[in-house]
Amino acid sequence: MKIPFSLALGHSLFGSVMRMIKCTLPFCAALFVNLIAAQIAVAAQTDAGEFVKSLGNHAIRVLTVKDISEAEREDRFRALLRQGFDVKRIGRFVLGRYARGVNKDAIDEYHGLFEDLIVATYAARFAEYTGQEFVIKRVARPKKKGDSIVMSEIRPSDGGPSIRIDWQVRGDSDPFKIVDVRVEGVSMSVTQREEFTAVIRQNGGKVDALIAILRKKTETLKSKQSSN
Amino acid sequence: MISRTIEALRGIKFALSMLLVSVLLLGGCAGVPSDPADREAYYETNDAIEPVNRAIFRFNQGLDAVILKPLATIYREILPRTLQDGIRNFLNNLRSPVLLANNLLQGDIDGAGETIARFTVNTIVGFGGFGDPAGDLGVEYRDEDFGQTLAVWGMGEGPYLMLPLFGPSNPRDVVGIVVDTLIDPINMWANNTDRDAIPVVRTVVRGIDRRARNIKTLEDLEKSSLDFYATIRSLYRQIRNDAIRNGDTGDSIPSPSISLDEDTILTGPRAQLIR
Repeated sequence: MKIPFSLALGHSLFGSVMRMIKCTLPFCAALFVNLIAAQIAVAAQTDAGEFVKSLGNHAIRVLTVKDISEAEREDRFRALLRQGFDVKRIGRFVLGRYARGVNKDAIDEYHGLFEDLIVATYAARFAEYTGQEFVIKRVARPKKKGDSIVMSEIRPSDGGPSIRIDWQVRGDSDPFKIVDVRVEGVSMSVTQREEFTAVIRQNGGKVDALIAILRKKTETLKSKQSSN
Repeated sequence: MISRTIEALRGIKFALSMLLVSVLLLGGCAGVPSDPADREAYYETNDAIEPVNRAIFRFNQGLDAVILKPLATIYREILPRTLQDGIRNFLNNLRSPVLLANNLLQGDIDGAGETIARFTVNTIVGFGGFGDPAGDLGVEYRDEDFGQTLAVWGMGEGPYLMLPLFGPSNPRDVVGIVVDTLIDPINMWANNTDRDAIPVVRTVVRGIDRRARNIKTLEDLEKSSLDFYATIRSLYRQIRNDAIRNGDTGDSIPSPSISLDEDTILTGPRAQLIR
């Protein structure tokens, strides 16, 4: 029992050391292999992967420009958000069961405010872009009729650790719509949902209370942006 | 001075464990809400003693504002970046024995090999662990702890807990922290040779370093959040689950309900609890 165990350990220790040695070899060889691998991966992409890739690259192109006003950046972000995401579906998911029995006007206002919150939260982040690379790794389709998961990575230009991002994409063909983004395993939709339902629960189950707080929040975020 | 601090810390430790016990007892008494929407949120958030947790969270926030955040800001602004990285690498390297134990307990032979390789390379080539040449060569640091080991063994997380000073946790991770502290050879050596200050300093520096690295992230998060407590609760759970899976999401979809029809919002094992 003891011998195979230590053998296995030795083997994997050897593997790790070998991996390090391999990395130190003249790096052009490794780079070359990586480049070819990347080419193949892109060529074998299904459509959902292509969709996320082109959306990501488009976002980098139009949103990271330095010489536009914050308002202009927000407008561009909003347009891309509507084009690439099913914001209504996410908004409904985020409300959970509380969505039932809310009248239509309130729901409409909620969806508008929810979109405003996303825009106010994320648009400005693109101004901090410093040349990271956006790479699609692979596409998974767990169920035949279900959503696709597009797994991607953002690689910092300084060679720091890359950030894992998974996109849950709904639809068989165009128009594809993103319904969730998971950053390092953290789902934006789930986080938002637990936050919103907490607010509603804290306020006696009233969705109106959430809407009022959302209204205030988006106002403060907007005024902060215009004062900057 | 230091011995008095340690006495005080011991006192806090005792108070903490008493609080934990009473909190767990109280938790058993909390009722499940009758409204279906509330019930859904209740099961989803897994927070049976929410009022107590929220109170402790407020206390922690206050403490953070007066002590931890200012210290972390000074740490980040004054120390050169390379020194900060060195300190973190050194602390990570000190954790190697605990990492290795948990790699092995989880049956992760590859992980154990990586831990040994990292420790050897970083200690020898990386000037006693201040450098991270192994990480530069592609074998990056990956944290393991006994809480994750228990999860791999199939133990459930238990109800969400907000610990004073230590922040978000759950019974499984509390056991994890205690076991990791007990099996750490550096701590054992320090205890046996009456160098009690070493584990304390180590924990404090680690806390400041972590806080310093998350100043902007947490600020942004709090700014855009409607209920910061709920955001942290959700993030803690998701980050822990990701760590337990070692970042391997596989082909599963953790948020499947998004694509279902509006009337079937929640699926899975908890669904029948609500209907």
